[in-house]
Amino acid sequence: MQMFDYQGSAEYAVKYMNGVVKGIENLINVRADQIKSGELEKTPVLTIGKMTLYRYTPLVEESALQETPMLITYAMVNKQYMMDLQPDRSVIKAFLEKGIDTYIIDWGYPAKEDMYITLEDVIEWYMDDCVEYIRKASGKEQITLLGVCQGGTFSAIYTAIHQDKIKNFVSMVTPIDFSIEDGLLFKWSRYYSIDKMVDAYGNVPADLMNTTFVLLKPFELLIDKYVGFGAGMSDPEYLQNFLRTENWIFDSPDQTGELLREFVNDLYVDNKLMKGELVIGGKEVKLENITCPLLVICAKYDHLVPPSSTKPLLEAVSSTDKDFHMFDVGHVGIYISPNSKNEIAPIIGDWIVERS
Amino acid sequence: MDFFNRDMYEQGLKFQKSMMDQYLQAVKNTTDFFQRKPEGEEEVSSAYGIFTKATEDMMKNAGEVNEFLWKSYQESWDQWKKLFESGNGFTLPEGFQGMPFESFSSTMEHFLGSMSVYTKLFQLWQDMIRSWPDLMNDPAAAAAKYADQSGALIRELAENILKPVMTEDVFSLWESFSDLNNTVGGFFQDFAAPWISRQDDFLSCIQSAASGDGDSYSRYMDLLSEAYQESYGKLLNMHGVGMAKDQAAMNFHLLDSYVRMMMSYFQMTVNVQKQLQEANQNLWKDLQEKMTDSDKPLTFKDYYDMWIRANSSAINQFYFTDEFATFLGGYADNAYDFKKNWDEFLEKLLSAFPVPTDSEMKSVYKTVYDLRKEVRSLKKEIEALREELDALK
Repeated sequence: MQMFDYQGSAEYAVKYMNGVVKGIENLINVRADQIKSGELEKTPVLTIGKMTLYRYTPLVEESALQETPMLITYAMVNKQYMMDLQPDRSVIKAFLEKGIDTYIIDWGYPAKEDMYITLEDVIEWYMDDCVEYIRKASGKEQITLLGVCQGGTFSAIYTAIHQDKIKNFVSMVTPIDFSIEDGLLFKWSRYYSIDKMVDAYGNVPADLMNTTFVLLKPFELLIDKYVGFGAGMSDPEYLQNFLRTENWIFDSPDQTGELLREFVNDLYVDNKLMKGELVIGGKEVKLENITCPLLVICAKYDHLVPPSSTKPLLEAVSSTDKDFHMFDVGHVGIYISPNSKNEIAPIIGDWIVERS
Repeated sequence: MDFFNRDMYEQGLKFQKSMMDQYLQAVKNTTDFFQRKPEGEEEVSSAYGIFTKATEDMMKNAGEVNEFLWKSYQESWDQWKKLFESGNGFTLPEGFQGMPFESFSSTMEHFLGSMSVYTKLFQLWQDMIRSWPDLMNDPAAAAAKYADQSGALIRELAENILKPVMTEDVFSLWESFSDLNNTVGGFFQDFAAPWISRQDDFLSCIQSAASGDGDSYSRYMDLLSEAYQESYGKLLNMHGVGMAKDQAAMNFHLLDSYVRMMMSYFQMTVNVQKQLQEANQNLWKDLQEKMTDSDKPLTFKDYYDMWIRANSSAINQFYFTDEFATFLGGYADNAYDFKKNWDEFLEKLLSAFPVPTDSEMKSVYKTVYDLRKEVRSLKKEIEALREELDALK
C-alpha cells in the first residue's frame, strides 16, 4: 500500500495556493473603513493625562436606561475597543441593547512623561475620578464596575477600597491569585527582575510585551496562525475579521514603568492581593471587604490568565450573591468569538440588569 | 646618538676576521701537532678518535705546549671587548668593562657551561612531549611545572652568559625583570586556568555533539559561561584608577554585559533547540509507524498537523520547567543590564553635544509628574473649600 498520499498532498497544495492568490487579491482591495473597530458612537466626558473616559451613546431611550450605570475598566496592555471590535460580535453593543448606560476607560498611549504613574495613581486618581464623574453625572450613589483582565485586578482593588461606591462587580478573565503554576507569565515573572526591565526602559515598549506574548505559543502564533490565514483569506469576511483582530493585537500601548514594576513585584511575585498584604495610598486592600454581588467570568483555554488564577476571587470576597461562568474559549475569544455577542454578552448583560 | 656607529661595524668585521684567522691557524696547528706525532703515543684507529684525542690534548696543553691556541682565545676575547666598547652610547654605558671574574678561564667556564643548558632545555621539551597524555590529566599543574623548570634553566643561562658582560647593578636589574616575568607568567597562568582546567570537558562536549548528544551543547555553553566568569568576566569588572576610571569601567561593563547577554541567549536557545530536536526525532518515529500501520496514506496536511502539535507540545512542556524559566530569567536580566549600560555609554558620548539626554528628560518627567499630582491635590482642596463656602451661604 502507498504510505504517502502524493496526489492528495499536491491537490491540497494547489488548492491552498489558489486560495492564497485569491486572498492576496482580496487583501489589496480591502479599504481601511472595512476593518475599522470601535464603531459604536461614544462621547469623551473626562480626560486625565492620556486617559479618556467615554460614555457610549445609548441605543435605547434615556428613560429606558437601567438604573445603575456601568464603568468598564480594561487592561493597559491592549486597547479597550476589542469589546467593540466588529459589528456582529460587539459585547458593548449587547450591553447597550439591554439599556445599560455604559462608560469605558481608554488608558491612551502613555508617553515617557507618564512613566512615574503608580498603582495608587491608577486606583485613587484615575479610576476614582471616573467613578466620581459617573456618580455625579448619573446622580447615582453606586455604579456597576466591570473589569477586564488587568483592568479586573484594578477593579477588584478599587472595589475592596471603595465598596460603598460599587453596586455590582463583574470580573472578566481577571488575575487574582498570582501564585499559580499553570500560567507561564505567572511562572516566568518570578525568574527575572522587573526592576531591571523598568530601569532599562522606563516605560516598557509595547513591542517587547508583544514579543513576550507571541513567544508564549511560538508555533501557534508565529506559524500556524498565518498558515490558517493563508487557507482562509480567500473569504473576504474572514479576511476582514482577521485584519481587524490583527490590528487590535498589535495596537499595544507602552507600559508605564512604575506601575508595571509595582504590579509585577507586588502581585505577580509577592501575590499581595490574595494574601491581603497590598497597601494602596496607605489603605489596606482586603478582598473580603468586597460585599457586593459578584460575577466571575473565565475562559477555559485562557493561557494568559488561566481559570486557576481567576476563580479564587469567589472564595476571597464576602459577597453572598456570587455567580461564575466558564466558557470554552481562550483569553481573547471571550470577546471576539462568534459566541461572544450571542451567548457570553447576554449572560453578563442579564446578570447586570437583574441587579441594576 | 649614532646608532650605526661605523667604528662598531669595523670592529665587528675585525673581530670576525680575527676569529676566522685564528680558526684557520688552529686547524693548521692541530694538523702540525699530529704531524709531529710524539713518540710512545698509541696509534689511533679512526678519524673520530684522532680528532677527539687531538682536541683533548690541545685543551690540556693549551697554555704550555701550544701557546698559539691560548693566544688565539685571548685575542678573540680582546676583540669582543673592543666590539662592546665601540657600541657604547647605544648598547652599553661608557667605559663598561663587564663584571669582574677571577680569571678569563672562569669566564670561559661559564660560557662553556651554558652549552649544557641548551641540552637540558631540549631534554625538558623531549620529556614534556613524551609525557603529553599523562600531563593532560592536570594541564594546569603540568604547565606550572614546566614553566618553573624552563625558568630555572633560563636563569642559569643568564648567570653564565649575561653576568660576565654586565655590571652588578645591571644584572640585578635583569634579575628583577626576571621576577616580573615570573609574576606576569603567574598572572596569565591563573587567568588561563579556568579554561585549561576545563579543556578536557570542552573537548568531550565537542566529541559528544559530533556523535549526536543533544545535551552536549548546553554543557558546552555552561562551561563557556563558567570559564568566562572566572577569567574575562573578572577582568572586565575590575576597579579602575585615574581620571578616566569611570569611563573605562563603563566601557568594560558594557562589553562584559554584552558577552553575558549573548552567552545567556545561546544557553537558552541551545536548550530550546535540544527539546525541538528530540521532539522531531520522536515525530519521525511516529510518522514512520503511522505510515506503516494506517489504512489511509498520509497527506502533507496530516504531516504538518503532526509537526505543529509535536513541536508546540515540546516547547510548551519545556517552557513550564524551572530550567527554562531560569534560562529565560538569566537572559532577560543580562539583556536589561546590557541595555542600561549601552544607554549610559551613549549618554556619556552625547554629553559633549547640545542635546538633552534621557536621564535629564527623566528628571523633567518626574518634575512634571510631581507637579500634576500637586495640582490635582490643590484642585481637590479648592473644591472642598468651595463646597464648605457654599454650605455657609
